[in-house]
Amino acid sequence: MTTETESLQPQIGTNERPALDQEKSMIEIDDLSFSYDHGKTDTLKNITLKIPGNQVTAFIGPSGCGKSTLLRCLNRMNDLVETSKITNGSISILGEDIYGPRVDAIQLRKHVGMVFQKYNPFPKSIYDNVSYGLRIGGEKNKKRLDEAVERSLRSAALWDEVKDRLQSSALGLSGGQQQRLCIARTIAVQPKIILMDEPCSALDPIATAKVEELITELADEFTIVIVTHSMSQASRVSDNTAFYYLGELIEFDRTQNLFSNPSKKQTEDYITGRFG
Amino acid sequence: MKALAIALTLGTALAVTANAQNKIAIKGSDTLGAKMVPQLAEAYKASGNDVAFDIAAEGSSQAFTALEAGTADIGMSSRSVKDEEKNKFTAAGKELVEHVAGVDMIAVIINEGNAVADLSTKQIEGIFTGDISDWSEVGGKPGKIAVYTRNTASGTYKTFQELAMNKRDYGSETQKMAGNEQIASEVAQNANGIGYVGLAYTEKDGIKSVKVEGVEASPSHKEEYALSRKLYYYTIGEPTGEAKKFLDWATSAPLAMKVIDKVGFIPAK
Amino acid sequence: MSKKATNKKSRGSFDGRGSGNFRILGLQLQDIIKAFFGGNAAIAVVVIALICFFLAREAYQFFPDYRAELEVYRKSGQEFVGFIDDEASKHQEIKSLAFQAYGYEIYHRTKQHEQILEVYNELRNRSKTAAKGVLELRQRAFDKGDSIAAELDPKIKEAAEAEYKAHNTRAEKVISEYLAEFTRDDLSTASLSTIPKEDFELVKKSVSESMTSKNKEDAEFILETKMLRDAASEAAAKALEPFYAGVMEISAARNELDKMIKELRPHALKTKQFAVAYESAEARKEALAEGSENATSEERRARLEIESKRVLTTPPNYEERNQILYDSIEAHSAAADSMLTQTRSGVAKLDASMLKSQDAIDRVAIIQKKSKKLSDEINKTENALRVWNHKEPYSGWKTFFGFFFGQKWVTNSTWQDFYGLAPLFSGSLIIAVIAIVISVPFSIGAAIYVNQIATQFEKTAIKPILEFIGAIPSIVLGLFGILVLGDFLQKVSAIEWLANLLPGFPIESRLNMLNAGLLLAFMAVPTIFTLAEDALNNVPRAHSEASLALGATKMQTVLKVVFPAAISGILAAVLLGFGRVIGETMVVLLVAGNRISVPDFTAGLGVITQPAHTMTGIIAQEMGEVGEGTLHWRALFMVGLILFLISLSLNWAAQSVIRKFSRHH
Ligand SMILES: Nc1ncnc2c1ncn2[C@@H]1O[C@H](COP(=O)(O)OP(=O)(O)O)[C@@H](O)[C@H]1O
Ligand SMILES: [Mg+2]
Repeated sequence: MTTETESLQPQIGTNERPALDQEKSMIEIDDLSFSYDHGKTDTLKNITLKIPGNQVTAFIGPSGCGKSTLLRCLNRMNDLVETSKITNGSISILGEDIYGPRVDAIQLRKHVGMVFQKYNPFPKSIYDNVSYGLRIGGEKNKKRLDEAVERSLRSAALWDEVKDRLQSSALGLSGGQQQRLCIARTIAVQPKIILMDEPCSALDPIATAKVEELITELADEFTIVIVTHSMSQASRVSDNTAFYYLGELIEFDRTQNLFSNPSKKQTEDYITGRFG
Repeated sequence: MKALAIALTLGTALAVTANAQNKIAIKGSDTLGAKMVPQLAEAYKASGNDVAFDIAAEGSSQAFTALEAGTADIGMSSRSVKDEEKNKFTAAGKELVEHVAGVDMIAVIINEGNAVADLSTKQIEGIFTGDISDWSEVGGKPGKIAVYTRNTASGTYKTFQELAMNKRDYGSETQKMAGNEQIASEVAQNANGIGYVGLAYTEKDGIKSVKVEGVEASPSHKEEYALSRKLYYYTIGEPTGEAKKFLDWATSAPLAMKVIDKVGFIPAK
Repeated sequence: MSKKATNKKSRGSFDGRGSGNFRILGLQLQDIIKAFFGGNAAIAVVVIALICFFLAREAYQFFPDYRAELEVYRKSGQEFVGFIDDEASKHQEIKSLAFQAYGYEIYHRTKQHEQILEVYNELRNRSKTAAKGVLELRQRAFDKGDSIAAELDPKIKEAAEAEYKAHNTRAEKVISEYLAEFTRDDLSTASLSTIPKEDFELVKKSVSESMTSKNKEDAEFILETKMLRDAASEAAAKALEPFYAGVMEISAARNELDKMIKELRPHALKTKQFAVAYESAEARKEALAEGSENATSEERRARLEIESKRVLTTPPNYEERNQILYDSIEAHSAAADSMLTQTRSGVAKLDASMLKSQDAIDRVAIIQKKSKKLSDEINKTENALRVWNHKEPYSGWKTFFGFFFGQKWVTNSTWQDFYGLAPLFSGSLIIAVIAIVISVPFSIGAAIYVNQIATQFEKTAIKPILEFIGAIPSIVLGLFGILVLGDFLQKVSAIEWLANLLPGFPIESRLNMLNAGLLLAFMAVPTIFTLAEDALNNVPRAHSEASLALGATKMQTVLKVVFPAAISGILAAVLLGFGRVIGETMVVLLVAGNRISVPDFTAGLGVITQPAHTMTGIIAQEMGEVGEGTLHWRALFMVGLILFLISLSLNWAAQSVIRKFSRHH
């Protein structure tokens, strides 16, 4: 597999950006294999991937191919599955091996935020939702919390809609608003990376458009990895796209290239809708 | 005890097979009629006496009405006859004869570690009604008295009220226990405890019975002990025939004494 | 197999004919199914309604009946005597305290000797327990030597005596070994361990001497101590003569009043008996009249009518009988006044400066306070007596109030039964609160642990164990409470630093509310645990995932997200646990101590170590003895109805809590 991804690279190259392999990478996945059952079977197989910083990277692939699994490896959410295990390889973020002894999963997650498929605000007020991450981090100063809440809500393009009802329950918002609130909640702790797992799949088209717009805006500030089952969404929001199939990384390239000129048969079949 | 058991089972067997010719009617008190007299009757039959018993126990007063009406050969009473009852017999030219059936004795018990040895009836009344609440009031080591009594369903609850408490109500601080056994074990456990139990329970570890008005609660003092009452048989005139035979046996035979002892009373002899 | 087949077949035919045609008794199949399941729910509702109705039917007559009975209590003059009784009992408190002060002082002055005797007593009892086996053997040998067989055969006697000697030597050894180990600190009461060392050694010696001497006499030292004690006590009594004179004067102050009570009490009781007889006569007459109306034969009717005429129907002449009470008001004033003056003069003689015991001095202070209040009490009684009127009807309010807030639950009384709920309700409530306060942290902690933190293995191990608690019969727990927990608590509570630290310690009675509360806490665990765990389980995983993804620790997630999200369910669990606990009967009946009085709240938190009776306990204890339809019977049903309503409202509260919060979600 490794050879396959490596062999891809010479073909990459666009006018707007430097070659993908020349970018400074934020996340480096090296020959990673991952198992949900103590190593009996590998759900992810020998994945090697360098995700550049401050860009949007999309993971696509048929359902069950391991996109979410890989995403959850990046903030070690898979640690919660007792039987899970990294069977091979490593992941580094900014050069630090995140499964290494020096890294604490709790600390890591403060730097690698996550937005889920189904919007899941806490049954608390809007304000409490956004300030949650800071509060558990020990922040008590009311003024700083207020500022952070406002800043995050503004960044999530939600401020104008909710500024008058910060103390009312988050569950009273519309679905799209709730998902943007979840994004605001995530960026409130100022992570470096935001992982998004099909963040629009539960939203209507208008709400989806708003979130997509938000994602592109946020890319200035954050490194974003987004799992999506919608190829059009991937092409709209992402700079780079990785295509997975049956736990393997098939192809990783600039999004434009990948969609206009896939180098693998499986990729082509998938994006032309022949399966998946 | 074993002999008694055999006698009792034998008795039941005999009662079924024997075609009894003679019948003794015994009526009155349910204190006697509940256990003691029926068991005496069984044991009596088991010792080879061909008699049938008709036992009815509705209360001591029944003893006298039944005797007067001639429906009973022997009356049972947990109290001695009242004057007005006696008068009726006298008026009819009959003489009522009293036979002591046994003694019912209530011992007042305290914790073994308690130095108090003697209480007057007045003091007992005070303690159980709640007027006296500290051992120092009756010459004991200071400490709040914890009073354990039977519960209201018990006959002893009432009897004790009559014998020891001047019919006054129990104090609200008293604790109502399920039975003799429980009273004994709580008193054994509580250095400031006091309670009352049937004589059979005074042997338990950790408790001792106090003297009442200077009299020890023991079978040998049944006459003077304040908290005891005699249980009686009554007959019209000196008994004769089967009734006499049974009464003689029930008031003196060793087996009868054993039965009386077993059901928790003190044999008269 | 075949059943399946027929099922299929019938469905087939059902399909074939079309749903509209398949009818039984004119009902469609769906209707029948619906009716069946709907019916089950309806049955539950009906049963609850029936229970309610049944309880209410037995209980509703309670208030009118109770009121009628209290009216008789008034009419017969018992209420009047009751006032004087209450007044007398106020004096009794003073008298009681005076005797106590004296007793405490005497004890204090003879303490040095008493202490030795107490230590002696304790050591004797303890060595008896320590050497129980040998002593029994020794007793057996003694009995053998004392038997008739031994009288007849000197060989047996000799053997028995040798045996006795052997056991005695062993007993001596066991006891002396036991005593050698025993130090003053091992004594049960801390105050006893201040006994001088040489005395302690002498006591030890006396114990082993007396226990191994054949006639079991007390040793020289003990006899001597007893003599010293008696002498000291005599000397103390002599020194305290003036004080004692005061005590006696206080005691005698009530003589006149007592005489009055002694006269009036039986009189009022007699009036009451008349009233009761008259009341039953009314009923009898009615029954006879009814009987004669329904009589089948002319002869029988005539007989019933004659009998009915014979029944006494004149009510007691209350006016006349109560005249003696009205006439005694002046005499009462005199008696009360003399009680007051004598008490005061007696109290004046209680010179605290003569006393050395702090307890005695404290009591004298209380006596002085109480004797000042005595005149108020007397005035109150005077007024009550003056305005008392036997004809005044007893108000329904007072009856109602008397039941719910009455401090007295007295039954089977020769004087008057009172049904006051306060002691029972407070007992039930305090025990339930103890149980919940103890149980909630444990069960909710366990629920959180099992649901959020435990590994799969721990889950499968802990859950069934906790749920098994619910299967333990409560009688078993009750016995455990009496035999094990009670003793344990009592022992622990006697540890000196604990006794100083915690209110209510050391525990006097091993049967008490704390003991019952602990057991009930244990019993409430499965209910609260299971329901709370369910509530936690119902919190969507998405919430905790979101929290964890924000860098929260497991603990932060549980406390800040999962727990608050489940709070409604947990609150409901606690409420239902409370219902479980307040309705529990067997354990409280066996373990709570069954004292029917409102707990003494002046003890502060220590109140929990007092014994109490409960609403469930009283029903279980007294229902067996009461006659159907009597007032006592109705009172117990009333208590049952209240219990039922409490459970019902707890359930309702639990449900509305859940509803309210789930709307929020
Ligand atoms: N917690 C888990 N435990 C065991 N297997 C899992 C778990 N989560 C996902 N899987 C399995 O891993 C594979 C990849 O799943 P996932 O990463 O969710 O795919 P995708 O997100 O690409 O649809 C699937 O076969 C799925 O069944
Ligand atoms: Mg997925």
